[in-house]
Amino acid sequence: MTKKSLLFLGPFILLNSAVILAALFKTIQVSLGYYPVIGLRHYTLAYFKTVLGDAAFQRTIGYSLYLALVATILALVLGLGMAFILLKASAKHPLLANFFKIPIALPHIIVALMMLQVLSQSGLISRLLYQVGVLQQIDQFPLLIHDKGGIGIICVFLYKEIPYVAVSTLAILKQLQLGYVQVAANLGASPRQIFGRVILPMVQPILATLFIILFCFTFTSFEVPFILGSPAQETIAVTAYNLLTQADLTVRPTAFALNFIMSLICLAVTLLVLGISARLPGGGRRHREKN
Amino acid sequence: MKRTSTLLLACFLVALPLVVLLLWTVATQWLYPALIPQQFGGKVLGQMLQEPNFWPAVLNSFVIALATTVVTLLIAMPACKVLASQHFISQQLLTFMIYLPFILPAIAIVTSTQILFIQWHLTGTFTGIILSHTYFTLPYAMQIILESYRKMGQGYALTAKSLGAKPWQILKTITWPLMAPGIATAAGLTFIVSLSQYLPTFFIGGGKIMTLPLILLPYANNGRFNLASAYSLVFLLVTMIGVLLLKQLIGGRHHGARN
Amino acid sequence: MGLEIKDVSLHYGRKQILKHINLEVAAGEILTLFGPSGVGKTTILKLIAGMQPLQTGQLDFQGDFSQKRTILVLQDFWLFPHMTVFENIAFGLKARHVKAAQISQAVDAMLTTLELQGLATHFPDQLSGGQQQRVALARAIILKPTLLLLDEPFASLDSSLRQKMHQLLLKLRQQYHFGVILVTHDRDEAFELSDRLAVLIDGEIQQVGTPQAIYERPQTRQVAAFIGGMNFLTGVVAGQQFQVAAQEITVANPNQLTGPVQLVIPYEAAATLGDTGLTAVVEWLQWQPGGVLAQLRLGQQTLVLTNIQGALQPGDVVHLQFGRDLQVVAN
Repeated sequence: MTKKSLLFLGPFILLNSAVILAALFKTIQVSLGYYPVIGLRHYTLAYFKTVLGDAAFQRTIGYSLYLALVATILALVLGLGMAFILLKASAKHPLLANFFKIPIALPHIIVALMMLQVLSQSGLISRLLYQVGVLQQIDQFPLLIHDKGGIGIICVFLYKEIPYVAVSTLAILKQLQLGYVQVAANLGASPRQIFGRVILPMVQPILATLFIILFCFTFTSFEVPFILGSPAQETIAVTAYNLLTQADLTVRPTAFALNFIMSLICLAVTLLVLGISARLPGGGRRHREKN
Repeated sequence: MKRTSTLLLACFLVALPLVVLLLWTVATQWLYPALIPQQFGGKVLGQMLQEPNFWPAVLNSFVIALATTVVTLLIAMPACKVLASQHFISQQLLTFMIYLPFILPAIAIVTSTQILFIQWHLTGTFTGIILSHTYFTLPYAMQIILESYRKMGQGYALTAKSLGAKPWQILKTITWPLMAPGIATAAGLTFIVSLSQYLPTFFIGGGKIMTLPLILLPYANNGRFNLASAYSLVFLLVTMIGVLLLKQLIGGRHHGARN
Repeated sequence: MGLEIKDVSLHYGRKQILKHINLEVAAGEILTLFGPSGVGKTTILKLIAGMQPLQTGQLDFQGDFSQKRTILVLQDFWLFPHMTVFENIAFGLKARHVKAAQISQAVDAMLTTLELQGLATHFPDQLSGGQQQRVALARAIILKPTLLLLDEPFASLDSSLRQKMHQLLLKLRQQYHFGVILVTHDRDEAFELSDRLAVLIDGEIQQVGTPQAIYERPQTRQVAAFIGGMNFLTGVVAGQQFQVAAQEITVANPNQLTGPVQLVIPYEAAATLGDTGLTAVVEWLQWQPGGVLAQLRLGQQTLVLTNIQGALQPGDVVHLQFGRDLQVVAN
């Protein structure tokens, strides 16, 4: 690589590696109990044991996994479905198609607020049901916000991510639509075969990439569960936030151990999904270099 | 038709919460179980404008997002120029490198780099906040700019160079005008993402530098729908102004590149 | 005067792209780099133009020649889509900060020379393929290059247009006296335009010579196969004597091969019928615009010839005489 290339890449590599390496180094150091600010100088695995052994922490991790998996899988399925609809309909209704993409640009905090206004017990849906006579009292409306099922949280992610998945997969569907599908149909493939042998291999790499991005984001998202989450059941990022905003510095090593564990889970899921995707039909074609 | 009605339904589901949000900004009374507010008025907006933190938050948000966009483009453009044509790193590793900030948890990155930022005296400063935002916006920008470079191909720049243009002449007369749509998209997205950041601003800013998300989050959390909605509206206005401004600044071209 | 390329090699990682390239091009000469796609022909042009750093070897620009006065015209023209024809042609002069009045004069002259009058304010996407090609040439020639590097310049044009462009290029060379290194994989183009041909296969120069020399005396089987339209007869050679199907004829054997070799006979090699010579049986005949295509049998091997003087009938036993000694190449 030439000197000029290095100069051009330098700032990117410097910023990214400084942030990531510093984070990694500090996380490992503090979580292993080296935190001289409060007089801790002895390396220990105690904080990891605390996090992994404590039932509350375990529940937190499990609950975050549940939310992330449900939101991600639903977003992928519904987003891919919407992509197929946009594929045909966006030429006829460009205005609607563009309107549908608006949530991608909305910040999570605002979407969380909107879900509060729509889904809470005093929200719009509850009012609507009251007006048509389904509800006689406000508290007959099911708890969708601050609930243990995390319905509100999942709705926020779906609101933002279904359009995101649709837009991302649409580009690939557009390429494949006319060419390959027609060739396959012409060669006598059934619709099911076309989906399994032509469409899936072509979209699975992008679906895998989207799964990774969405899972890692929702699993460790802070703002949405902070606003909509159940007080009885925290998510992993909210727990970390609460620990890290305490004045009591002695909880920091535990918080950093939690940080480390959630980072590892994200990396592990990433490698797992990449590995699975590479072995599925169409996986070998991922990142085929264009010349 | 089935497709059209599904699309209509999807758009309705997108629109409904937005309409409710807008109604809350102009509602002075909206008691259960009314479907529309009992009273309308500008009281909430007036109340918001009176808040001591309002203008600082708007200005800070705007300045930080704009500066983050500039820094992000300054880092992403040269890096993507090299990455789009390099043979050294495998495509897979390259994608992984660029997307790493998407994978690693923001809360873990922010809270642990906070210690480093403290050591460098960057906490509580605009520089610190802008740098931390840039880390989070780079993958978005690089994804788009890299694609832009690849789509444009190397031919124009090589030709211009062979015809005797200097690097800055090539950037000004060829690369920038041809990539303007991509750069504008990347800039707009960077602006939006920076504007929405809560965690890095909160932890690196140390609460000293107020931005719109920092005000919005507690209001939303405490169920103060009126004020939170009004701030959301301002937030969306700032977003639109920023994106349009960037588009205007970056410019465009009248004739298309090769397809 | 000219450019000498001395021992240039290039590799990406472990992959060797160019191996010890030695070439020279003289003032006003058209040298063609001829070879299959993806063997580094374009890379050589980029190295010469300074678009890519040299790893090993040297470029020796002599006399008027210099890298500055070497202009590369890439395949597909790459006309700047956001600039008019005028702005495209003026681009290099503007980059050199030439005065506007002078630029305007020079561009007008180029527009006339290349028959682009009236198109000055058009954008590239409003031009035909031939017009785009001419703008690309004008944009380069206006800078008075001593050496033009043309990468598959006519590949995207249809064949009748390509003919016209060949003539135009030769005319322009006469007028402006530039040397050309032309990259192509089109044999007719290579034969038609080149003063000399360099055949590049697998990153190596296989042979350099005039089109006729390459056609009639290919040094290796690879060169002959790439040029195409060649018969290969398997036989045994000793000295100048080549044996095939119990016959013996005199051949050219410049590499002094011995043992099993291939005799190269171009389809279009001129042959006459005589009392002695290579004996073969006519299998079938087919009329073609350029003459009759004959398939002949020689022992177990077949032979296709299109340029036999004399009347043939299927089943005839003929004795073929070629005006020159045919060449043998290694297996």
